[in-house]
Amino acid sequence: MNVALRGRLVGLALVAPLLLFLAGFFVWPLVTMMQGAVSDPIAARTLPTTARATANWDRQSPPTPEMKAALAHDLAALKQDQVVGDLTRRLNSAQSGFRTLMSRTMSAVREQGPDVDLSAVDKRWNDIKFWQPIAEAAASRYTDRYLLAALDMDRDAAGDIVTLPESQSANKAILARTFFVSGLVTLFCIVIGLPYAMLAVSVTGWLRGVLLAAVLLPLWTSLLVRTAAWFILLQDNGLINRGLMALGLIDRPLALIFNRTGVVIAMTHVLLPFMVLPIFSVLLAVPRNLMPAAASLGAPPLRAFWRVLLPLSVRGIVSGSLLVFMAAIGYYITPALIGGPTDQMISYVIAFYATGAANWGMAGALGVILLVATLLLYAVYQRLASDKAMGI
Amino acid sequence: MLRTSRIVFGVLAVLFLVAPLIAILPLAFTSSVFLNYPVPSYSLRWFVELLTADVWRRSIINSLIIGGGATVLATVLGTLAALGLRSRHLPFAGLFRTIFLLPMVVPAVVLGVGMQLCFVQIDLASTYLGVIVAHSVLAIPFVLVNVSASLGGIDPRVERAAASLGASPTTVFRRVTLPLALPGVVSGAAFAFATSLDEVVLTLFVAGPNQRTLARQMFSSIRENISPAIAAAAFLFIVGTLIVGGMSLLVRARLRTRVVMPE
Amino acid sequence: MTDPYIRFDKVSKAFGPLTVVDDLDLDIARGEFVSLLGPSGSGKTTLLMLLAGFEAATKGTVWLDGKRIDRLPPHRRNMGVVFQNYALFPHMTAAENVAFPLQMRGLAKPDIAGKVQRVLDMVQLGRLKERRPGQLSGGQQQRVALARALVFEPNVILMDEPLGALDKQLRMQMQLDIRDLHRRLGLTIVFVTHDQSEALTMSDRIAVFNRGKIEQIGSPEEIYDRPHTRFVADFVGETNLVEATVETTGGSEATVVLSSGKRLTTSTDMALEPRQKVMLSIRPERIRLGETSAANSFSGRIVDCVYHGDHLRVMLDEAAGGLVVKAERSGRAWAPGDEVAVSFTPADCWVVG
Repeated sequence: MNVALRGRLVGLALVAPLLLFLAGFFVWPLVTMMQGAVSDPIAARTLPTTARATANWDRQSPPTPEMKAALAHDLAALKQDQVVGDLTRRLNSAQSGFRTLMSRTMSAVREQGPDVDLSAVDKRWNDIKFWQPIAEAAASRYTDRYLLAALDMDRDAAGDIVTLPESQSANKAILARTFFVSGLVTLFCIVIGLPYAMLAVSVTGWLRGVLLAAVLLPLWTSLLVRTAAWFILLQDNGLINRGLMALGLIDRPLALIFNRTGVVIAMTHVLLPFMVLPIFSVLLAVPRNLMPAAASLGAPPLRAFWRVLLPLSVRGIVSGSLLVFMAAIGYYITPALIGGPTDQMISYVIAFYATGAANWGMAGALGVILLVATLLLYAVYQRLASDKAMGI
Repeated sequence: MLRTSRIVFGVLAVLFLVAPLIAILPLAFTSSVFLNYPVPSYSLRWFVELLTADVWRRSIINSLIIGGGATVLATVLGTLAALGLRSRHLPFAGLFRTIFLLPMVVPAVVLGVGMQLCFVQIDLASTYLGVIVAHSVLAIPFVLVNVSASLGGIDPRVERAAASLGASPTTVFRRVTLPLALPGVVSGAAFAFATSLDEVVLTLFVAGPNQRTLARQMFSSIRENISPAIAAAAFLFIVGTLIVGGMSLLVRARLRTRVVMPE
Repeated sequence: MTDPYIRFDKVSKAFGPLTVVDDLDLDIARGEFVSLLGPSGSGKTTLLMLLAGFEAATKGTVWLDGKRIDRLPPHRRNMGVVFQNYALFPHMTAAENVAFPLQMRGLAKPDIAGKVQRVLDMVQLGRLKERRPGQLSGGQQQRVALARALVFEPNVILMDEPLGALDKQLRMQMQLDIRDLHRRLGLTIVFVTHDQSEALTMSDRIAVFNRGKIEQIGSPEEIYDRPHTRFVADFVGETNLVEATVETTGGSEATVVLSSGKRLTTSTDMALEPRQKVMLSIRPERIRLGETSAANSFSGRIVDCVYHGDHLRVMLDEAAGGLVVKAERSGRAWAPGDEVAVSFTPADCWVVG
């Protein structure tokens, strides 16, 4: 056996356990989550006859007797209340009124058998409004309704994609809020992080040690501890408000917690190291004599900064911004503990749909959006990190 | 002028970064029931509470069990993979590395939703093993990065020298590569433990009431009934991190002296 | 004497307790090439930084063309600095680097383009002007740095070990190029180096630095042939330092006695007293072997003999003062153990104090 082949096999054997582990406990969950976003199997599974009977229906003409018979036949076959409940919930989410309609129909079907005339049970069964969702849901095990809903869109009766009216749209606002808060945090991180990194590079010895330790210490400290600390500081009678009042700057406590101010302050604190460290490492590689050189060539300090130091730190700023923004859009704990109800970001909504409402479709759909956004940002970041040249 | 503003900015920024961490520590020793200043008098009552109240004691034990399990699992898998990625002949090494680092990037809530769905299907939901597995997924990138870094720091000429002196590949690995990589393994393990200790989001999704960790317990008590027990728990957290970090530094230092001066 | 162009007046610079430049005076004339030569830490680079304005003097004043400049910020001093490792801006092309000082002075675009092209042509880099520093060789980077410092026609050119990063051949070429530019353009150049041969080759005057003070300043010939101190004799070129006691003095010559009892005639520009302990500097290449013609002449035994390509290095025994001699290869073939006549003129036996 030659060396290369042997090396390859040994390498693969060493990598394989982790590969399998992550395939099972990382990739599979993500795939399942994404599947949840597009899968809609309940109607297709429970109403196979109806699916066939409505396959060629134009969805505009009145329901035919065959369709009604097929539905009655399918419903009669449903023995478990759990399944009936899932189906009803699914149909009711597309058209309200299904809850009463289904319970009345189910009891009729169970009393009178599969040959019951649905029009006689409830005259709503003559209304195409109630047949359209059934035909739609039974036709396929997959749906784009969750993904559309995640972007505040839906399909109308004709199957065209329409934007929901303001009153029914919440997700776009949450996405916009997520990006806005993350952008704000990124901005603050640049405003504090860039001068901080420049300061840390410009000093030497113990001073630089202190500045770096001040960045690394929070990084190593538990996120929960840091969030708890901000919770304590930002309270109405917390240290910050008391300090400001003692100084006479304010006479009533500022509202710092359970609102956006608190979220932005705490998240900036948590994510600042991710901005400072990339800029610091980029600036460290800039030769120390460039700024003196610019001065000797006649550049006043501000122009020298603008023409020389800033262009050279752009790489670090971009890397840091991507890292901060990427981490920020996925944040859960800090907004959940420091923010108010109107400050929650996309992660909170996903968690709400998953654990609170057991709506896996919506949780998955929003999850897909967050995942795609994060991976895109990560891809750009990786590209920058590997593209060492970048014109320099 | 410029100098003064630099000093003022530096002091304020350091204060912003460090002050919150320092502010929480004295509150762990308050005798009051309020998590706030001023501290009327100092006592250990909240540490007593942590160690005696059932929810807190249980959560500390759970954190140690789960943290220990996740550390072992992540360290073993991550170290093996880092060694594998080092092979020059491994195909798709770049792709593998990217995949292995992704858990650090994917938002925890997204992963949590997926894990909740999957773990139910294979009876891992609300089990210790399930939480250990979930934490390991997050911890693996840290192990990989640390071990890879220390492997990358090994001068290949040292291994060639060992081979030229008559050592077989396995002997080279056992006597040269592994001892030199060990500091990275140790710090990787420390990072893995710290990651598990601090994990909340995945725990929310995959753990049952019996697997409540200290972090999870702190999370819900900040939300529901805030008390100085949180500051005491934070104190334990900081001390725990310092101990693990200090121990790993100590072990690394011992390893280094052993490497530099073989017996 | 006309007023000096650059004047350092009792300048001191301390970093905390460490005094790096100590109460130093130095005048430089317009159009002069002055090298600041010394070991690292001797204060020569600090003095250059004081002149460029990157450091502020703790005490004393700095003057340029009759105007005091030590309070002026660096960007208003109009001095072209060539830095160690060049300090080229890595994100700008060669042409953009050279254009930078002109842009800072608000020149119009076409003027800038013309000047940049002219100066880059002068350093033979006209074809490479669109390259970034990373795409240029060390020598090319060096020339860009030179062009950038020249293009805005500064009052003074300051160079901080500009050739240190180049290999030997290139360094010698650049030395000649810079000397040529100096003569052609009538530049005033202050050149910091720790390489004595570089200083000897290029300078009008050399200031030898030691511990924050100038030990001696003078033409290359003065520095090499008539060093004032033991430090200068030892730092500039190679020399034999021999202890001796003054016996008689007379004008620019003196008779001294070595510990071995040998009597030598020496040159000096110091006022010596009989019985004074002095140090002699005798350059190895000025010592003749196998001749007895010169005033100082005695015999010694060869201890070792080392081949150096263009010359032989011959070490003599203690009886001959332990002298090291650079002997021409064309002469006799010397071998260890040979008894040999040693001689040198009084002019080549210099009292350094």
